[in-house]
Amino acid sequence: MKRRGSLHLAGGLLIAILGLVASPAAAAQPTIVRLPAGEGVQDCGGAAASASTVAAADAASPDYIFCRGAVGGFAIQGFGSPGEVQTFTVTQTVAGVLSFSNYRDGLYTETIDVTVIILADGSGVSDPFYVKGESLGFSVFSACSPSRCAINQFGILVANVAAMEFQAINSPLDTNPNAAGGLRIFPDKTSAGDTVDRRQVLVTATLSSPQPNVTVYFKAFDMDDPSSDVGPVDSNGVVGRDNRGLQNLDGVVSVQTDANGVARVILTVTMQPGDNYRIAAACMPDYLNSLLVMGTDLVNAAGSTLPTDDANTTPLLTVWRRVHIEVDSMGAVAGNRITGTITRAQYKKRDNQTVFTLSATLPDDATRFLGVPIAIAGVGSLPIVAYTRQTVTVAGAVGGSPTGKAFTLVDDDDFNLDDGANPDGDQGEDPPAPDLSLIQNSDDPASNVFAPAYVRPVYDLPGEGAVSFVLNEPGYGSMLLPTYNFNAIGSEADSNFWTIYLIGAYQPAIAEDGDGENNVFLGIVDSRLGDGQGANVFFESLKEVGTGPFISNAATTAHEVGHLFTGDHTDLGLMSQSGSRISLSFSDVTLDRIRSLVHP
Amino acid sequence: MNMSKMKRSILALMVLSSLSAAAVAAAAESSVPAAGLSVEVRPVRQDYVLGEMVKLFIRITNPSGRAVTLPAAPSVANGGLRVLVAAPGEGFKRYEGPGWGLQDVAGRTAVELAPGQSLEAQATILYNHHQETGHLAEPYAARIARENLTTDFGFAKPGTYRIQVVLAGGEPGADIASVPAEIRVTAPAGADLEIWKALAQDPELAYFIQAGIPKGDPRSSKATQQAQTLLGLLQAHPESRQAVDIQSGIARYNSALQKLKALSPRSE
Repeated sequence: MKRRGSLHLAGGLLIAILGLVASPAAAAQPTIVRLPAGEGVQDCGGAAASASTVAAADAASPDYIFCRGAVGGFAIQGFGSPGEVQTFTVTQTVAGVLSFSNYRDGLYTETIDVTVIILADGSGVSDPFYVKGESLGFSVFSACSPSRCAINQFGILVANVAAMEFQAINSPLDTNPNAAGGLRIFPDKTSAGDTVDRRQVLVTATLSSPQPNVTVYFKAFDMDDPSSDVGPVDSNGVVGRDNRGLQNLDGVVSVQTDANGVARVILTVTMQPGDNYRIAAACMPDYLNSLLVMGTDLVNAAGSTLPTDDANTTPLLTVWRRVHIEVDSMGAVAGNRITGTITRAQYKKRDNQTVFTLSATLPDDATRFLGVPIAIAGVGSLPIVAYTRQTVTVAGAVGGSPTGKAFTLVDDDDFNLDDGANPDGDQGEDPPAPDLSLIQNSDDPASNVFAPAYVRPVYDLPGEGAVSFVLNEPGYGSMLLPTYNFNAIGSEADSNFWTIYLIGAYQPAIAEDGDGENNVFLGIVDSRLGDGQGANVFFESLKEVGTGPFISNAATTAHEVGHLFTGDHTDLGLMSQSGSRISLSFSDVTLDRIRSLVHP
Repeated sequence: MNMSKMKRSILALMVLSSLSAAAVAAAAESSVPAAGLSVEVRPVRQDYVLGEMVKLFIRITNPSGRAVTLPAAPSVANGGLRVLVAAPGEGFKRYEGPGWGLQDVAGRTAVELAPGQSLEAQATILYNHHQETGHLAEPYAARIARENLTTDFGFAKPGTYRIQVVLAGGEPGADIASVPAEIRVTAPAGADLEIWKALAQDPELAYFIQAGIPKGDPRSSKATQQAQTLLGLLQAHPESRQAVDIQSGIARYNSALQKLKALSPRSE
């Protein structure tokens, strides 16, 4: 049988479309002919081998590859006497692999009869009949009348997408430890200077049979957030389309299989933690468009969960982010111990107080030294009842000729509670780094409060260790910045490489350091709407307040880092003010903020 | 037990029960710190021009017959007070000034309001601190835009605005909102317009004015340049309505620089 592009006038439109010309030798032999795709036939492409004439093709080299559920149209061309009615029965070699119908949308059965009416020219073409790929396997179908069989048969391999997987490209994939499992990807940079695009992951779809050039269709789905089905984390319940990153996933992509029957596409994920995906693949695009997201599953129109015989899916893939934390602490305490000499001692009889004038200048703090004893050599330790920057007042008259004597004035600060009966103002003692026990490099929410937000702290940025000691912060907001030594500041606004600075500090500004004041700041950040750089944790403040289950160095550290992620006190949970906190977990409001941020 | 004794016992039980119920009710009522309080907001004036800082007086009153204890004196700095602004034709959205919501106070911070007693606080509105949303899918960006002002200024265009202050109640649904106050913001002219143009071109100048420090390291060249810009505006337009606030901002900045100079630790 030859194919030509020319028309054959006899035999009607079908012959014209087929462009077939019967050779004299084959004129008496009925032939099964394949309808072109343009006739409304839906198939998956495949090896369009010429129909075999005698020997049936085998599964390794089928004549056609049908996707499971795909339908191909055929017809029978017969020859005989004008007016003759020939009835061919279509059968197959392996029951159940194919099914047949006289109508495309009709009932498909194991066999059908196809009628050919011979026209005046001695040939005739049947109405189209349809073959459906019913189940996986290989079968040869043929058509025979009581007196003769079509000279050709078609070996059809029915295949589907048997397996799908994600494969790492530039970002390793590991197990997602949060709800619904699946795989996890960290699409962010591995270092500030990293130029590799790590957002991409390879998706492979493998056919049930290793056949090349089969068209496979892929579609990405924004799956439901499994961590919640209520706002603010997930306001639309189980239906998906709740990824926070801006992305268009509506298209269907087609790719042909390679020699191994594998088709590949690349998925580019967003950068928002918690965004998740499944990719479905099938041989027919309409099937993909009928899939629905139900929680973290894909279901077809009949309600069956993928994978089905008609389509397959990857596991769930979830985006996680790292936050790189540069940690420093202030150097040794200084300035809490003041020495000098008493230059003048004046007894004020009316007040029954003695005022000492000092050779040293006291800090500009109205309450720090109230009640703190001034130790005067040869005189003793006397509690201070009032002071200015240059004078100290004690109660009563003071004997022992204090003028000219050396004095020592020590703030009662003791951040590590090691002074006992000998206060030394922490002189020379080194505030350590903040307690990281709630922001560890871990997937366990008990040791990483950011894990429910799909964020993992990482400590790979070298700090200074010890930075310049500051007795009291000069102020708040950007006034904190000069006290930082933030080596990674160049990347602090990089949305693909999250960095923050964390410093173990001594105490806040004078008005809030608890030395006589009622209000104490346990920690602070310089800003909190995605434009902050760092967080301070004040060790001396924590000592002033005293710690408990919800007020601690660790809780304060996590709370302040939460501020850098736009956490707000009104979020409650761990973001509550220390005095009213009853939880060490971030609330859903805070988790939503963390996952919506472009960078801390 | 005789009848009268029984009646007395029953009566005693009933009294005890009602007292317990009252105690439970009282406990439940006071478990929300701000329950029973009222909050008012009053702008210093009713009329402003664009680029002018609006100052608010806020009063928290205990109109009830019993004392109410708050964990700390509410302020915009510690997040105990929030300010909402409704632009002309729009609903209320959260306004956030520089440094708001950062102060985590602890210690002996509890404040008791006796019956009839009031607390006062202040807030200013000029620069609006808002977060980026361009990277977000539409539902999330829209939600943030619905709930928060997304402009660089609290008042970004002329019109009549409503301002509301919310006292954080400490529990979901327990917040207490003030009756809104109204202000009129008009288009600036003359010197006021020149100031507004400068702020519109660099909103961080507004941050500087309001916070008294720049956004970023105060010792940076950028901060120095901003200070010089503000000083230049002040000198060029001393008659502008924004002049007093600009002058105050510069003065606070200079004071901040002095503090930063003294950062090195004290030596013995």
